[in-house]
Amino acid sequence: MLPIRETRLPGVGVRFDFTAKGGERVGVIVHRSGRRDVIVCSPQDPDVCQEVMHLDEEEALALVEAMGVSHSTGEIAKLQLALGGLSIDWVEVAKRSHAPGKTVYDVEHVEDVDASIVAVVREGETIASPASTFALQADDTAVLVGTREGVDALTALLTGG
Amino acid sequence: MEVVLLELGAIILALALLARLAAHTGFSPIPLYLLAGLAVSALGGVDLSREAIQLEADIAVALLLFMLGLEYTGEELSASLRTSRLGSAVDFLLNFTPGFAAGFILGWSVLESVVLGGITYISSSGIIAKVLDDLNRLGNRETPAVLSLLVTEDLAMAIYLPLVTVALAGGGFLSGFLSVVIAVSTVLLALYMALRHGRHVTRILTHASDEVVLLSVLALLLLVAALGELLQFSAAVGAFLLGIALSGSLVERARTVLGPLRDLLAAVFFLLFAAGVEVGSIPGVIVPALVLAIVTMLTKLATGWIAAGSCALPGRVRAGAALMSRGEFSVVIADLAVVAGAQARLGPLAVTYVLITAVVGPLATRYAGLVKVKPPALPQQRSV
Repeated sequence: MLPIRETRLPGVGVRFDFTAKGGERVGVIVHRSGRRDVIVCSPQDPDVCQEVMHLDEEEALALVEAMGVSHSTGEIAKLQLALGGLSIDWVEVAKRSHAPGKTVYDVEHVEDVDASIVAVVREGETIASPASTFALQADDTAVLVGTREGVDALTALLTGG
Repeated sequence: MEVVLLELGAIILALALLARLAAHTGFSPIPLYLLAGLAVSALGGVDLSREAIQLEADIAVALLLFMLGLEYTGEELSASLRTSRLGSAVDFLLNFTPGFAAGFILGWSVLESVVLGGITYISSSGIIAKVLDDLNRLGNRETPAVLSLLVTEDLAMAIYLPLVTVALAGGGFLSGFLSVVIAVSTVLLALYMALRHGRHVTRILTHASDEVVLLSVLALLLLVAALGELLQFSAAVGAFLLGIALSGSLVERARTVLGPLRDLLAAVFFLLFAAGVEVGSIPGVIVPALVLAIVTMLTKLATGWIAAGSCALPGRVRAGAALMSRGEFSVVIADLAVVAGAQARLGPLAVTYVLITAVVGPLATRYAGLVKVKPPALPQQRSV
């Protein structure tokens, strides 16, 4: 991470800034009142602010949320990668489904689904390309590959949904 | 009674219109309030008793200083004192001296010269902080140097005001000397207590109801101010130290509930101060005021230039121009001396001087932004 400088502005608040790779000074002034100013200085004259954006507390939070990853981490778990018709997803085997105790072969052939279980994560250990006789347990995480419809169907089977 | 209400209503209506004009044009309202005061004086003055005016001034000044104290935390004060020692010394030498010397040239007493030195020394933190914010300069590199100077100036007032108050009260040399010693040691002790034990005061005053906060902070404020007066150092400084002592979320609360009261009383105070000035005496002081304003705006320019030494040329000019405005504190000092019966020309001179610097200072700050150096040539971008 780039080093961030902290400067006190007596009577106003604190200024945090750093020099971006393009040479411009970028920073935030945290006012005592909760207001935040986002500042950008030109690389030609780092003394003076070229752009100043005033944000109230709510707006500042929205900006942080938009820039941070906290919002996206929840999404990653449900992420479906689509690579030219191929879907990859992972799903937890639910207790209430019919999957626990069944082998990979059984699960894949209950219905004629266009998807396969390519890996299983059990208690932190990864079993890559499990044998067709491998028996699933509740709370296993199964990694699925197949068509979009196939992965959805298999997901429904494993979660009992 | 109806006359007083009518006068008060007319005064506040005038203040409302002026505040509107100030907000509209982005100017500080202080010079406008002073002008309105002069207009009132020209129309025959106000019909308020001397005691009423004095009471208003006392509370207004206490509130002004209390709110100023609220702006600063203890750490900021000590950090500013450490980092801007050189700048502060230069600031004092360059800006106190012209006023002091002018007093001598005008044939005033030493004490009146010291008062005039104080008037030219102290920049207006209120005007300057607002102008810098309006011009989007708070993030500039020269700004911390400017703000640190304002802090040390305000803190210097905590020593200056009691000294002047004691001196203005008069008395023999020995009793005067004793009073000074008592005043200064009280201030230092109070400052230490404020920085060290302020959080206890904060804890006691904190309450969920705005009404409770308003009344208890105001009560403590007036009591501390009274104590300050009783111990012979200024009431205003007591209020300032109380402001520093408060911390945490209470600061924001106190600012919200007391801010409007401060705005009202301060506006009336500026107006009444100017209304007490004989308009006929203004032409007689206009030349000295103008000369003093020009000289001390140049010395502030030099002060900013030196204090913002780590910046490039335009930044140093901006810092100097920002410091030019004088305002509320200069009026407070002048009022102190006028009430104590100083020189008849001091009031008019102070009003004219503040009027000039409070108008020219913000303008100079704005136009200092036009000062540019040729930007260094960027490395040629190779075209793809």
